[in-house]
Amino acid sequence: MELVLNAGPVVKLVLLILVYFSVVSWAIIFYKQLVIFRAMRDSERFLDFFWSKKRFDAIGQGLDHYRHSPLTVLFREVYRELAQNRRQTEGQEADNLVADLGEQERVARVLRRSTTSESHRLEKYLSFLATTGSAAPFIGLFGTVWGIMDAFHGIGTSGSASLAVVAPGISEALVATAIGLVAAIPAVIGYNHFVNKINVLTGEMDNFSQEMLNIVQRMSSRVH
Amino acid sequence: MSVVPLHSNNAFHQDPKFGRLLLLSLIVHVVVWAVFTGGWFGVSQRPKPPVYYVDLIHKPVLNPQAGRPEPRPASKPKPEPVKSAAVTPSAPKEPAKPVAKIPPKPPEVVVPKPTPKPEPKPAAKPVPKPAAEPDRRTEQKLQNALDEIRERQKHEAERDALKERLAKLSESVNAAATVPADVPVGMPDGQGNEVGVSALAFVQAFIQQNWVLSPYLLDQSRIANIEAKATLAYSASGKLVRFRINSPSGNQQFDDSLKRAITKSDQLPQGLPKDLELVVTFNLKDIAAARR
Repeated sequence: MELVLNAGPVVKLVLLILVYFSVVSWAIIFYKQLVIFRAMRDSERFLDFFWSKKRFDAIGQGLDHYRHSPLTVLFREVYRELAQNRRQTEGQEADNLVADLGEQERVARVLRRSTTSESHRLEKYLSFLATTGSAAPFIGLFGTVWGIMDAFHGIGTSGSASLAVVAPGISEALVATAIGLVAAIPAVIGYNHFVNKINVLTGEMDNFSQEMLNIVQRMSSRVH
Repeated sequence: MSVVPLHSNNAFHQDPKFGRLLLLSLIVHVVVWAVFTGGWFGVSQRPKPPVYYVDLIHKPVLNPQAGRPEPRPASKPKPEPVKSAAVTPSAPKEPAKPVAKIPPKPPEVVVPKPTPKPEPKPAAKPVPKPAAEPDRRTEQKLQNALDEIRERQKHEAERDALKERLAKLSESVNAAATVPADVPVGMPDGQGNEVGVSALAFVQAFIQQNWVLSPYLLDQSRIANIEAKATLAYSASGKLVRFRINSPSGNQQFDDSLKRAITKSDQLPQGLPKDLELVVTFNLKDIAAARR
């Protein structure tokens, strides 16, 4: 505590910035942990639910139970697209959703768009973790360099180069690097962890998109 | 087919509120900080740094106060007044003095009394009763006067005793205020009454501070006793006027080094009380010990 209080104004400012980085990083880590945990849990459940039903209507009714999964959004968007198409071709049976070749294209576009938007949602705030992981040690290093400059200036002024004069200044300066590392290490670990999980979810979304396209195509060929 | 109501994706997902997590993060930081600075992991349970007592007045004076560098026994000077207060047993003796003084005085007073007595007696023989009554009255009056005098003398004696005690107490207090030799406030070799350091010690310390000693010389300090004496003349402004090595150490490197240190100390950081010529002894062992 004394080390921080005795530090110079520049070092204090650096420490303040690093504390801000650390607080926000940890908030993002908590946020991402919740979002990704829920997304993975609901995706697994949704896929079980999806393959257990044979009608889109039935699946569409139960989407609210899996609202945290990105796959749910993909299905919902496709379902909405098909429903709009159905409104245009009224008079047909509820489960005979006609999908022509143009419609398949539209479904493919909807899936790509949804996958992209969901990926963006999952990756939200991750750039801050990456910035913290890479920049915080340097910011800390800057504080240390500045503190050591100050310490050497003090040595020059006092005219004594004894350890008692040199050590406190250097010790205060090194606090900045320590705090920089404290902020950066969890950010880097969190970033790598979440990127890995998001890759898994993105892979699932791609697979689900392919499955959805196949289903729509099969429906279309059955109609024609 | 019933169409499911559509919402935006964010509302559909119901993502956690970032503000709340920010608050949680802040709380976690505060807790971690408190844990590490609160000494729960022994981080702040470091031994307390030693306390150094230093003289705030580092002014060279001609007659510095006496003292020792050992820590001041704060309670010692106080018992002295208590000792003088312990002299109070002698106080009871003093009231006895007035008792001794009183007897000589009453005879002086009483002496005139018998003289009138014989005169009335011959005349009083015919009428004894009327003469006896005035005698008793005068005796009574005399007795009263005597008692008053004794009382007054007693008061005076008590006052004198109190004055004497007061004088003794103020004497002991003054003695404590003038700093006896064993009270550590000044220089070890000080004999005067000025607050500060002796000019000799001041100059010696300044030169030793400016002295750059090679590791070789520091090693030599363990083997040989190297010592040199120099006469240094400083003006009152603290300027080095001249110097001479009176008795060189015999070690050329040490003597050269000493000359360099003296030349480097040609201006003292503070002026001296007057122009001074000082004979300063530089002992390598002492200097090395001070640097360790």
